[in-house]
Amino acid sequence: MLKVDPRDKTKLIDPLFAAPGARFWLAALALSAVIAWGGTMYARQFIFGLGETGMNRPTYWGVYMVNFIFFIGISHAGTLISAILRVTGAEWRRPITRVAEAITTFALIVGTLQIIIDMGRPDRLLFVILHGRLQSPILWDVISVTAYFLGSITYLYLPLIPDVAILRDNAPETAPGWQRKLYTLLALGWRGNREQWARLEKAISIMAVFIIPVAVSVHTIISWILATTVQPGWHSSIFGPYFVVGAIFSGIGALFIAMTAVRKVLGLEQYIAGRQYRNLGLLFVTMNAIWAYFTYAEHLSIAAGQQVEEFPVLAAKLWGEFAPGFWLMVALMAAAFWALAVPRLLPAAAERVPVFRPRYALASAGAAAVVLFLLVTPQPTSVHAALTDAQIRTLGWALLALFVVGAGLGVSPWLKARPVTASVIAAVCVVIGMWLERWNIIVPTLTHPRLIPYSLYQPTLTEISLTAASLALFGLMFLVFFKLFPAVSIWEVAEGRVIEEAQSKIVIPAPEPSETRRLRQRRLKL
Amino acid sequence: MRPAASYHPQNKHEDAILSPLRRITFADRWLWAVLLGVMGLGAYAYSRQWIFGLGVTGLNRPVYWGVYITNFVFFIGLAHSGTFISAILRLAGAEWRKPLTRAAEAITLFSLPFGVASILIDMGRPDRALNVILFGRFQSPLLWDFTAVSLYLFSSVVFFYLSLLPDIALCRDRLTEAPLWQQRMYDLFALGWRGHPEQFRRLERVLDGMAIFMTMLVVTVHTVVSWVFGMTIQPGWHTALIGPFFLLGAIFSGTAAVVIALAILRRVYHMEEVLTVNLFNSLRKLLIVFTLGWLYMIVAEHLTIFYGSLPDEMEVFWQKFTGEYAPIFWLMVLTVFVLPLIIFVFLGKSRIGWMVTASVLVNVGMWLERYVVIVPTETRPRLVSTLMEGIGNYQPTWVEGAITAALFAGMVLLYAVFTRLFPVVPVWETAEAVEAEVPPARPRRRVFGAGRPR
Repeated sequence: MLKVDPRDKTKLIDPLFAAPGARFWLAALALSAVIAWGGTMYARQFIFGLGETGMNRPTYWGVYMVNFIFFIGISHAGTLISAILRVTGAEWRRPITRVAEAITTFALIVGTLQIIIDMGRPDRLLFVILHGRLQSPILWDVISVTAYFLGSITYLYLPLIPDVAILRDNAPETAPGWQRKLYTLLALGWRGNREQWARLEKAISIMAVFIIPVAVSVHTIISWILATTVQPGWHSSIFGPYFVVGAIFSGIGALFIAMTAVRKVLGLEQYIAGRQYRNLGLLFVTMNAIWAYFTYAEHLSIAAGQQVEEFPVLAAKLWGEFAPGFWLMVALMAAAFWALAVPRLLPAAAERVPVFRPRYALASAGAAAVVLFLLVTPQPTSVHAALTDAQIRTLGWALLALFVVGAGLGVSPWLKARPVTASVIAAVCVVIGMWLERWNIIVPTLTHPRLIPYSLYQPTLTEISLTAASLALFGLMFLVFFKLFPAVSIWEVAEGRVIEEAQSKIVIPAPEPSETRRLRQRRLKL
Repeated sequence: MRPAASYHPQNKHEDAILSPLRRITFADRWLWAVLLGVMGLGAYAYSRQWIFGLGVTGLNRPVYWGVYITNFVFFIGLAHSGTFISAILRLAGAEWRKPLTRAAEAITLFSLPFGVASILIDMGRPDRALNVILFGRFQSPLLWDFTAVSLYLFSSVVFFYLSLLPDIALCRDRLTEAPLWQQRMYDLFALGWRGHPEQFRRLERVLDGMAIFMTMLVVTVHTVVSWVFGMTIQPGWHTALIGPFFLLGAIFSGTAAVVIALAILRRVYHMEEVLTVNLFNSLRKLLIVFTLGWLYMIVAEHLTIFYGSLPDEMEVFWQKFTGEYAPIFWLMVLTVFVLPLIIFVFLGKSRIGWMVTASVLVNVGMWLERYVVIVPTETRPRLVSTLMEGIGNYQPTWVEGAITAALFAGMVLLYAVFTRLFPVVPVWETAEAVEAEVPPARPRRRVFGAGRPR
């Protein structure tokens, strides 16, 4: 019989045995409806072929591949939080490890599904292995994603064992029989004796070390599928680290969203607290900076090289047909950086300055929107004549920048007072931005490939529906998982409490100043 | 004379740290004399180059950059040790870094001038160096480089000096038997430091702020150094990865240099108590991570080129893998990856001798790596490679060898003299670290009770 802290029992264990409420059923129903709609669309695609999608002859990869890279990227959340933070011994990770590991596993399932959806003949999937060639990055990809999937399921399950045993031992009398049986089965006879703890600890630490290189290899190899071609915009040696950094970045974003959802819905404010948001926010800002560095390095080399085949791809992104997506991505990333970095740096006294008020932020944002509208949309001829003047346009862009910065400054104290909201805003920006980043990498190259001048790609309803269905599937898996298992690792948090208690007993003595000490007079020869 | 109320944090190792400052040995003077002699030889070689022009070096028409630029990149790389250890680890809150911050920052400070000097030596007309600024163009990576490196030099001097301040004051108060000029120097440089809590608070704040700034600078500097190569379209140089690749390589070689410097200081100045084996073990973990990270980048770089198989690129690629530069390339692979990984992972734990061996190998290998990045591309440049039977050659001459030796001698000399004038382990920072040790907690059994197997 494993004991459990009464606080944990009421917050984490009892809700698992309560009958699901109306909100649960409603959410499950809505998500299932979206999935069913996606299933219908997939059936159409299966029958009528990939012609149902917007993909065509040079544009072989579209939204599905973007989704694939996006979901695999998100799956790096679990690896980062649990493995890297475990290896480096960051104590604050404890309450969020479970959510992070769940993201990893579910995102991998959904991500792998994208590949199958993208195939015209999914029945030939196994050919990659049966007729695999060692020099093909696709084969490496299948191997590494499979290894990562098996590894992350193991890594989710191992720290879950003591928790499941706790659930088994603390189930109320009213708990349904199937649930008891499930926990008994999954607990694998866990009794919590010394030998078992020692083994579990060893297994988790081995898995933590093992899964880091696997995670790095997964996203590197995905990037190499692109980089080992000679397509302009893809054939870049930076892609490996760039994708890994982007993956971890978007993973933290997904983690912010998921942990805030769990915290709100299950009322876990005392577990997932300010400390988690603060530290994860620092990591997030760091990753944002590194990501920006890589993005800049990548685009600057192409711009400086000015090679005839590379440059049209860059031009399409910077001012061509992909410019809205590209600059939206940049703006979202900058907004995410701002939302987490600037409020931290803002002194408390700033609120007395009138600029730092939400209504000024709203006014500036409105003005910025008006200026942007004037700059990018076609205007009546007289206005247009004035606006095409280069100086006025430059002035317009400067004004726009000014208004945007003003809006950012105005909203900063509001964000400072609400760190959770700020984190979620930043996370949503980054998750959307990273999806766009993958889009900006994959599609412009395919529509401007080497040797072929130009083509078009427009996603259809099928692709959009299947994307929505994938997201819904991701959400549904979360919903069901956290209805059955505790969202916060009970034993890890309990362990953390004791460590904290032990550490709080150590008092660091204040350094005492010493009087100036004169040394013995001794001649020093030089 | 001076008021007695000057406060210093108590540090039980104070005497051990200050003892090297109290005497200058016979061996020291010999070392200094030999180093000065090597520098003299370098000066002679440079005078030949100054008089007869760059023709006395191995540099020629397509190979404009050789050993000098390799030295430049190498020294700037070494300079990343200090900033990495003090600024980045400071931001990351790694407490173990404290005893070695100063030794690492001193490497930064004393290798940067020789990096800058390498550029001046490489110039046929060094009197035109200022033209980079006077007639600078914003789109030129050379101007970025100039700006970044001079900013870095300036701010690392400030950063170094700030963290030295309480210790200069300590020297002022403790080394009262030192020669008069030395006491005056301490008095002057201590800037009236009294060790008040307010002074320490301000110092910490400034150092925290500067750490953020220095971290950005350190990234910028080596990235911009790499972009001097990366912004061309020369095969082997024109790669987007070159920024992070150079940066990680720089931090890698810098950290290895810290291991070497620390081991020498520990042995020569008998600081076994202060520079514990644990420090070396922490550095070992970092070095393992850097080796693997850097291996990852070098694989990414060459795999991409190999799969692309673009004709221009492959010329350079095969030069490195099987051609003229293959011995250097594979020696680099051996000394940077294979041997250090074996030594660090299997032999290095708690064994300083092995770690120093590996670190020396890493630094030799990193120098070779810079050479093998710079030179093969120049001997097989884009467009002219097929026309260049017999002219794409580069063989360093004795002038370059002598000047390189002189640069290294100068760096060692400055370092050696510095350790006799200032405490090489920060007394005030380690005073905090000694107190803040946390006993390990093994709490799990107390939480869940002892479940006995049934």
